[in-house]
Amino acid sequence: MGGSWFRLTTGALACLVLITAGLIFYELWMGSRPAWEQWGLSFIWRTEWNPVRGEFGALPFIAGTLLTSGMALVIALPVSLGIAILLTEFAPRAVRDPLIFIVELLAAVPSVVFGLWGIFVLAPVVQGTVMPFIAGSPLGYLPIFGEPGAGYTLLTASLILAIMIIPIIASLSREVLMTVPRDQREGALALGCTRWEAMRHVVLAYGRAGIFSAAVLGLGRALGETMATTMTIGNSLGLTFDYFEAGNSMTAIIANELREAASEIHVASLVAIGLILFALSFVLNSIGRLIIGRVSRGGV
Amino acid sequence: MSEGVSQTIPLRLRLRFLRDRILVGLCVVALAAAVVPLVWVLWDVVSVGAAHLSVEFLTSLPEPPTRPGGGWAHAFLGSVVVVGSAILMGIPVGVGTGIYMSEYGNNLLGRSTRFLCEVMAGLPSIVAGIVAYGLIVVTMGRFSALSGAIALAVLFVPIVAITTQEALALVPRHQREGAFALGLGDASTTLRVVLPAAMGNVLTGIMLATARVAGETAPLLFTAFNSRFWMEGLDQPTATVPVNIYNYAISPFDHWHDQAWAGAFVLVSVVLVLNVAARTLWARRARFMAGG
Amino acid sequence: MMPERMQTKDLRVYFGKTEAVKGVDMEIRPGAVTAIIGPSGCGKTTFLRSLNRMHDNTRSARVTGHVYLGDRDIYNGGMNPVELRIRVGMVFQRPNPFPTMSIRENITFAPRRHGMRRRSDLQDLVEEVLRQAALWDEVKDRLDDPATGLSGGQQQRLCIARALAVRPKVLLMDEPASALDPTATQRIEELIFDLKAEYTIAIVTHNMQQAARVSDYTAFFYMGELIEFGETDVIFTNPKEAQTEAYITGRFG
Repeated sequence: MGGSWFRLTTGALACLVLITAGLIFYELWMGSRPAWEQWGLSFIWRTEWNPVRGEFGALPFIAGTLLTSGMALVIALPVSLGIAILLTEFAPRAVRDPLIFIVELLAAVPSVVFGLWGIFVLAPVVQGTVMPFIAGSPLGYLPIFGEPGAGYTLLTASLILAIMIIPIIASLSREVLMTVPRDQREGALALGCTRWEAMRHVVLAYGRAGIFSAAVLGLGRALGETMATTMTIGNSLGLTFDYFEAGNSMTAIIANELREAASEIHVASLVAIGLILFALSFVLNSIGRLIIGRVSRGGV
Repeated sequence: MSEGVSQTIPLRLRLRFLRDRILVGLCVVALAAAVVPLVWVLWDVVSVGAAHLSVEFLTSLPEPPTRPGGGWAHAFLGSVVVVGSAILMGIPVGVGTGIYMSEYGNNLLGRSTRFLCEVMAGLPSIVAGIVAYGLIVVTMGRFSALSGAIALAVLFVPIVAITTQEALALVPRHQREGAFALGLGDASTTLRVVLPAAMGNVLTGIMLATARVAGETAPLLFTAFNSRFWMEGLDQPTATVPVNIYNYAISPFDHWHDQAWAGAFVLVSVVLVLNVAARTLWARRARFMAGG
Repeated sequence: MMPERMQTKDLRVYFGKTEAVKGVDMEIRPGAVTAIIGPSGCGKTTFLRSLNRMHDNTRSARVTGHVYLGDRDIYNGGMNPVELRIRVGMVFQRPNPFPTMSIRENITFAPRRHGMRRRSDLQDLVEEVLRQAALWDEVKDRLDDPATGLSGGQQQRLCIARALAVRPKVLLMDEPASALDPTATQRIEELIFDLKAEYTIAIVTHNMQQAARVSDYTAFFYMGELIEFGETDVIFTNPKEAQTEAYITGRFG
């Protein structure tokens, strides 16, 4: 009864998923042990990366990932919220469904295609138009922007990442806004609020936990994005905080070097970066999923 | 009367409406900010890619970079084999896990599986590549199509498990009870009644997951690796379309760049067709269910 | 502040092809309470919601005919729904305070949108409407606590206070006590009685004792039509229509 063969079989398959998750962690841990044994936690904030001398440190890559993903989120979040608000409240029915469809298609374009487009189309535009424009505008005085140079920069990667995470954040946010009870919106309208005011101050506020987790999940996606970043970020090896300079990311350094890494410590250092990436994305995804799960079960 | 009407609206209210219009206008700009890049990317892929598409590109092997011409036939075959193997491995595990989570999942194993599936669906794809590299490539001593397929399967399974669970959850309880009342066991009930009822949505999930892994590049870089020749077996390295796009795009040769665009055209076509097909399949089911 | 009269002429509401309100001519008299009763699905809530254009944002809904606020046609007179709803407030069946706002913010939210900015004005307004809603003594020490910390009955009185803060002429109430316990219901009824000097009130209810207790006029709806309208005493003691009598004596609905 309780132990039917069918239940056991499907349960075994479910266990296989758990085992795989455990195996991922185990492999990342075992594969990176030489790096941890050599440098301990200081591997995380060491800045030198020199395969010839056998010196490795993760900070430039962690910094590059956080800088590009952070900037991508800063750009993508308001855009995504605008899309979600428009599609929930203001778009006429006739165009709404096609627009949802188009935004979701954006999420389906493979990363490597965005990378290809980034190399040959976006990078020249960034070099020729975007960077001179920013440098000439008041934004240019921000310390995160130095002298404009070649088109493969932290900024280029950030822009590509922003484009790639907009559909995810937009569709998650739209789902959050749709779950806000109708009486909240009508309560605001009945008080003489405009549709925008009801959306902005009541519906959005009601869904703020869900919006937060949509942003967290978008950030998680940006952190782990590999090809588009690798192909546009410039792949320099030093630590930089200048969005107009070439940088590097955790995913890019792995993509570039793992297949050619010769020494054990080099491989271990790359896997260690993979472990840090995995941990970061695991934490972000867990937070995002836990909050969104609670929201969809009806809590605030 | 009519010209007096708008003047009865107080100034403050009119300013609020004006502000609302501006803000909704900004939302339209936001939408454009998402749609323009999509159209732009697709336009470049179609115009540049289609221009360099040829029978030779689809059917022959690559030439050395110093010579023009050549094709990606080996990469198309490689992608079909690697992705095909991944989904052959992934479907039983993913669907089975989804069935378990939906039909028996109200316990610790079910809930932790569901949670891990959700987290793994957001796993950076390159991590799957690192693990397959460490466990299979290093152990076997060479790159292989199989290791690439396993890396893709790791990404494929959680998506299929989640969509299967959600598809099965939509099947009304009375259908299950009806089957139990006829004396069917839980295996027959699930396989002959519940799964068929949910088949449209399960297939949608499988197609979307296939589209997703078909475009994956990062997990294949150091697993399936690359090759200039026809694949010689699952235990041998092979070229795939996404990895070829990457390698050709970062090469210094102009005609290779053109081939990268042509490859991107083929890849995007396949991925978008899968997506559109999956979503219209879903839409048809949803309408069917709503219309009774 | 003078309460205003509302009137409908041949009001019809459609949802898709279904006609939910079928040509209602009715008056809602100023400074009085008008109860709208009838069995579930009779169109009473649909009717009420058409009085402040709540159907505007329901895609399938269509309203025809005329609704007058004073002498202005709210559908065809160039009136904006926002402008209308400032004058015609609404309280819903389930208390719907805004959970992310404090008690104070729930009240000041709409007046601030309408242009009231001075702190002292807002402060005075909060006290005034909370007193009107008979909630002041219970919440005066925790105005900045979340509104969701209140009991259901308190939340509903907060929603009434919130509606009053916009200074409407007319207050529409859609079964405002149906989600509350008897004590809370009684407080709401007392409140309605106190408010009618200053406001025109229309209340939808399925509770006939409640209609008899709080209202001056009663309208009986059935199948989307207004069957009978009159003074509450008359309707409940001496109805003209057989359907009305059947309903109030509890033979259906």
